Amino acid sequence: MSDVINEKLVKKLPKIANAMQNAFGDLLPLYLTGSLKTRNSFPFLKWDCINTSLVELSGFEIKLSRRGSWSFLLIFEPDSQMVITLIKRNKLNAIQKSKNKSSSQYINELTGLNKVLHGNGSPYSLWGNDSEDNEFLTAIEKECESFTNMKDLSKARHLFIVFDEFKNKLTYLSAIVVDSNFYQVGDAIDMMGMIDPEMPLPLESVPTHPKKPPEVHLSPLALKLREDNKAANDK
Amino acid sequence: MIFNGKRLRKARYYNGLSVDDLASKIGIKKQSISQFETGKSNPSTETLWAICRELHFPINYFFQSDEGFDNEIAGTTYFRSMFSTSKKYRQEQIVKMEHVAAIYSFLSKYIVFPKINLPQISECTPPQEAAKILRKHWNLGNGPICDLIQIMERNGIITTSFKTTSDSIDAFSHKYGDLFIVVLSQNKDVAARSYFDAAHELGHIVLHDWYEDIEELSREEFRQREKEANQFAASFLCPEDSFNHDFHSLRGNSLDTYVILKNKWHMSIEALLYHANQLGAITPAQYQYSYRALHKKGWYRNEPYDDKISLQPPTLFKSAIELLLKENIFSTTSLMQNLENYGCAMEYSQVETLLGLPEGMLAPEKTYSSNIIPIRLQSNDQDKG
Repeated sequence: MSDVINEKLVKKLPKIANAMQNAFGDLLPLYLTGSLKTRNSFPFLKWDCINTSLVELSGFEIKLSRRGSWSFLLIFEPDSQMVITLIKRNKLNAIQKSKNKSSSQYINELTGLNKVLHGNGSPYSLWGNDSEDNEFLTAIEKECESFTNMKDLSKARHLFIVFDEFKNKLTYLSAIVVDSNFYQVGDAIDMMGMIDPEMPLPLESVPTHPKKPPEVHLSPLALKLREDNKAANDK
Repeated sequence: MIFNGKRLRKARYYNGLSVDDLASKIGIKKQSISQFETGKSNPSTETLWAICRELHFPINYFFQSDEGFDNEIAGTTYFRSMFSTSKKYRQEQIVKMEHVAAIYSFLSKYIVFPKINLPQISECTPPQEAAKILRKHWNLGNGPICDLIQIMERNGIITTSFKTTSDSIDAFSHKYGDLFIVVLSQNKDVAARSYFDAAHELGHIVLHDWYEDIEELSREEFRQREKEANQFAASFLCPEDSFNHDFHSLRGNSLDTYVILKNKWHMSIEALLYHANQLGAITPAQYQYSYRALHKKGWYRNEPYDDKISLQPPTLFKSAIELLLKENIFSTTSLMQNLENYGCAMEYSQVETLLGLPEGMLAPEKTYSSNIIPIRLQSNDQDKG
């Protein structure tokens, strides 16, 4: 287990794991009724399902955030003072492989929270505590203003929930901390094993008619036979 | 007792065997089989036992008259994929359905089954309109149907399912007096496709004339009937208004759209594409493109959600037999004995298969009697004494 991830947070991770599984199992029909909490463009429907599944998780402070046209979730865990966001595995891999570690601005803002951490193979002092940090801190501060349990933004850290899917099935899920250069800090925590195997996946769509099994009754001949058999047994 | 050659033919069809096949299995000339079947000669006792062994029917079956058995069966049998199945396979299924009908006829002496409940629909009614009328008649609203088999059974359409010897037979239906029997092949284990098969047969029941011989229809005429049954099935499972609402909410013709629709309506993606095309929601060019994309993704055989959508099996026969056993009208042994007396001697396992019952449900009960004299092995000491 990663020593940067608080024990109390680890105990809460199964909630996120099960909500993610639920997003991959059950929430697609919600799109039809317009009940999803975010509505990004159609290719990102899966993200809308995940956001809808996670947005009301207990034990976390969750807010919907936007960067341009992109809606996403900021999840804050008060015990560990960690800000959690989701990322697809191939997206994170692509950022980690790129030489200049270029990524969307909001992702840089978030990993900037981990600037004091040092990941495996990360060069020292690439990020300092200099003036340029103030700019992103201002943006993050604004985002985090509504987290009532955040004590000190400078002590808050960021955690990625990394996932992958194949044919609408969740195939990979883990919790990873990366430093501001996207080098991994400590070990990743596998979350696939945290998914409750008994978790129901109510995939049935809702019919508009009552379900009733067909009814059968005994015929007069059968009723007579029943009486005859009973009389014979009583004797 | 007179050997009934017609029963031999039935039993041979039942097992999907040609005259040649049966003759070689029991080691006699094929002419002899033909003579037995036409009543020109009778098999020897030894041959008769061999026939029973190969065809899995009790010996009494071949000595029963056909009165009240198949004479009531009239009209035609609709097969999906009729042109891709051989006559031999079709005969096999027809004979099996005759046996289902005979068992139903026997059971209906003791059980009051749901009465047939179909609206009057004229033959010239378009399939989409007929589907709308039937939904209204059965109070189904406009939502998804996840219990089609039970709905059919509740409205007097007898449905069963068993394995067929050919994978190309999906479903078939037959009219028996005023009663319709639908058989779904268990070879197809994809629920979304079985829903469509059942709705397709329902389409034949509602739309078509059951007293014409479909073997005499031209290929085009038969295709037209199949097309109508498909249009009915699609409209019945997913009404036009609901489909249009959902389709336009999703704003796109990508295959992901159809995955979502499948999850809601329990129709295969292929059938939904067909439906979208029929309703004019997509252009023929879009249909062709999407169809090719579906094949390219390998979804022709295995589609997303195939493992999540389940089909509730028919329950009518199971409920009827459970009721007879529970109320002590029959024991399993006396039930089979009475079925035999009715003129349909069969092995209990065959009846279980035909009616889609759980294995062993009709197995003879074990009886223990206090009058049985215990047998003990003699000890060596006694031998000596």
